[in-house]
Amino acid sequence: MERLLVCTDGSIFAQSSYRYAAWLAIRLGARVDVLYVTDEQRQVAAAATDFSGSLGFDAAATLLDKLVTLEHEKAKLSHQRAQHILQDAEQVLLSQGVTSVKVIHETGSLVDRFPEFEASADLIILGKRGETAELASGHLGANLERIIRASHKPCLVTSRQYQTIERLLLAYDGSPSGQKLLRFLVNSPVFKGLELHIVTVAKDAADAKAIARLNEAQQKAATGGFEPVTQLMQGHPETAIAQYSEQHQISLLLMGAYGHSRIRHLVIGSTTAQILRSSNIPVLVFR
Amino acid sequence: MNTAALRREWLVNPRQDILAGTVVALALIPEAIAFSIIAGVDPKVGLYASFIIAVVTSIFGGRPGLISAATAAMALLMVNLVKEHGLPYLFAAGILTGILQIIFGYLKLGRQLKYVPRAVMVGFVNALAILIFLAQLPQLTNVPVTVYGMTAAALAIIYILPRFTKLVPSPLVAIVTLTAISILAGIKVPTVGDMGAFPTTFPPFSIPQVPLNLETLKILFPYAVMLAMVGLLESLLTASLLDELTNTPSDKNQEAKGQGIANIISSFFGGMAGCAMIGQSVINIKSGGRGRLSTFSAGILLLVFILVLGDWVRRIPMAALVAVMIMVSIGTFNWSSITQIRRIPRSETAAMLSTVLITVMTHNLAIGVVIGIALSTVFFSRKVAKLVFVDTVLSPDGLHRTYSIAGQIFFVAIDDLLEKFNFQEELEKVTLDFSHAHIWDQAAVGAIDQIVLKFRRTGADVELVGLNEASATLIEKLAIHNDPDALEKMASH
Repeated sequence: MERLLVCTDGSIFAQSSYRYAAWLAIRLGARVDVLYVTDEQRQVAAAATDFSGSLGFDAAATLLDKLVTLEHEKAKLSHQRAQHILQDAEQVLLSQGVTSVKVIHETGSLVDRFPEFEASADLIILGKRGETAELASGHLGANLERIIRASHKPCLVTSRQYQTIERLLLAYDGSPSGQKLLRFLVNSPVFKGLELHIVTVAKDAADAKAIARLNEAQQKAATGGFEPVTQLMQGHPETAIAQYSEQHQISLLLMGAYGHSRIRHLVIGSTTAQILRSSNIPVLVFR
Repeated sequence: MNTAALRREWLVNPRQDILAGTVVALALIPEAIAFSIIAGVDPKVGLYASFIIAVVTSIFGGRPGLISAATAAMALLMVNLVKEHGLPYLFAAGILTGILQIIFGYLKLGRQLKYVPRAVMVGFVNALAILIFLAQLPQLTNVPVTVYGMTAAALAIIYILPRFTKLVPSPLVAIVTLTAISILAGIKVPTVGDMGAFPTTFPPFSIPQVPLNLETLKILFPYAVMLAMVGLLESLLTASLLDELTNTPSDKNQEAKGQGIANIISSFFGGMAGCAMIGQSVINIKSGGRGRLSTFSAGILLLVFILVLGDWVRRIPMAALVAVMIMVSIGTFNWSSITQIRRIPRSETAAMLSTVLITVMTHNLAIGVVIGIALSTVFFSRKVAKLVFVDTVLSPDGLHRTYSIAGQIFFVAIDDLLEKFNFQEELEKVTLDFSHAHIWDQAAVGAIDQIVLKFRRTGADVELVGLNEASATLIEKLAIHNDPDALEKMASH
């Protein structure tokens, strides 16, 4: 992993994204790109309040004049705002010890412009919610779901508060994306030396398949130098995982983006979405 | 089409779009009625057309936020057709117009709009404004004096009210006030109801009853071609205007197809053919409309208003309608083309004025535009032809002269070019340097032949240098001065 892409909008969540990005970048020796997209749709939405329906002399020319002045002012303001946000991001990242930071300012809609930047990145980092839904806890930001759906790269979805990453929890279901995640854990230097927990959720405690799956994961993790704590849990995956991470003070949750179902390859798994919604810790989602 | 683009075009700002759509729908009522009267058909023909064209173009058009409906430009072209052959022929012509526009769309004629110079565009708009104004004059002649008073009062409300509040459409206030006054005071003036039948139901489907033969096609085709041309010209012109106003792109060829589909459907449901409206589209943008929803809601609301308010609409005095149309004509006219007349190049003003004059005389925008384009082309070629320069240098011994020719050499430039050479001089050698010139056509090559041969006759050797590749190829293909029998060929010219 050489390039991390941080999507920012200047909200509180973005602040913790910078810290997590810095932590990862230093451990991976990666460079960080910070992307801010000025939303042009919102500029369009704010329009005139003239319902007079009357046409004066040179109606079109007068209107053009008015619209250009209005949009000029607004664009100038949002441009300045973007500069501030990106400067702030750069400062935070540099002060945390990241050596290579690049800021990118674009206009359009984040979801539309995202693919061109995603292609050159290895890991996407973005806040769980943005400025429009900062305090709506229990929900996901409008951009987040669409980006996780559209992205082909692993995504780190950051929480409101930054905590040092000490204990990892791998929610393992044996799916291809889960296996990919496990391989990443073993091969990458980034999480080496941290405490790893592996949890599998099954319908009942005697599920032989689940036990075998868990053992296999444990062995694989051990080859990467981890000494994983494993546990088989019962019940709904989302509640069980939330409970476990709270009990053991987990600081980062790792999981696949979707489960076994073929159809779910098109969307992110409902379990994944539920967990993203309910957890207070950052989640690394692998495709 | 992908869903993201669809969402963006339909749901950019639904609240603003529906509000703007309402304003436009209210403004469309008087216009649709007025344009039906221009074409000489019942108001319901224009009202049905406006409803259908607005709804269909909102779905199939290429420019979100563009308002299309029954228009003056199209109505003016239909007058004779309606008078001589009747309504079924009008609908059949509308269908043919739609088919032509769809074909134009597939042929990507939208891009050819670049061949219409700005002066002609301005002339088109100005002519349209004048025609809308002139079309109101019959309503103002041989009428009671009260009509003049009412028109003046309506104009006053339309222009003064927006200074106090912009929350209600001032033309609507003018119409409501005048209708109320005329009913309450029992003033006898011509009303909209006197002009013909009104819609009472959703437009019914019907196939125009015309004989399907060559004779019919002969009648319809010229009208359809004119309607298709003028409709597309106004639509694409308005689309470019909206592109500029909203700073967003549009698909002009898709717009052409959308207009075509709309005209076909409108004609099958008893509506006349229409196109985009400059004034209404500006009102839409001004009221905050940006997406397709604004046009769509304008169409739907127009029909709702007419069906619900039909009885009241009939009682609107024509004077109020005339005032609204005068406003539309003032708003459509490009006033800066007159106020800035000193600053605009004279040839462009000439092209603009010719377009206006010919259109107003013929009541046909298509003829005006074609002549405007032809004039602009002539003016332009004349200007380019003037930029031909010839510098000459004589060698110290006085026997070798170099002519350096610069500029675009084509048929218009030739007379001036030939005058620059002196064939009386006694020289041994002549060099023609074309480093800064381009040779465009047969006439240019012919002129060079003439120069070369004339110098040869005076006994000089001629050399051509500095030809660029395209010019050299053309000369190689066409020139005769390298032929041994050059002189005979020259004589046979």
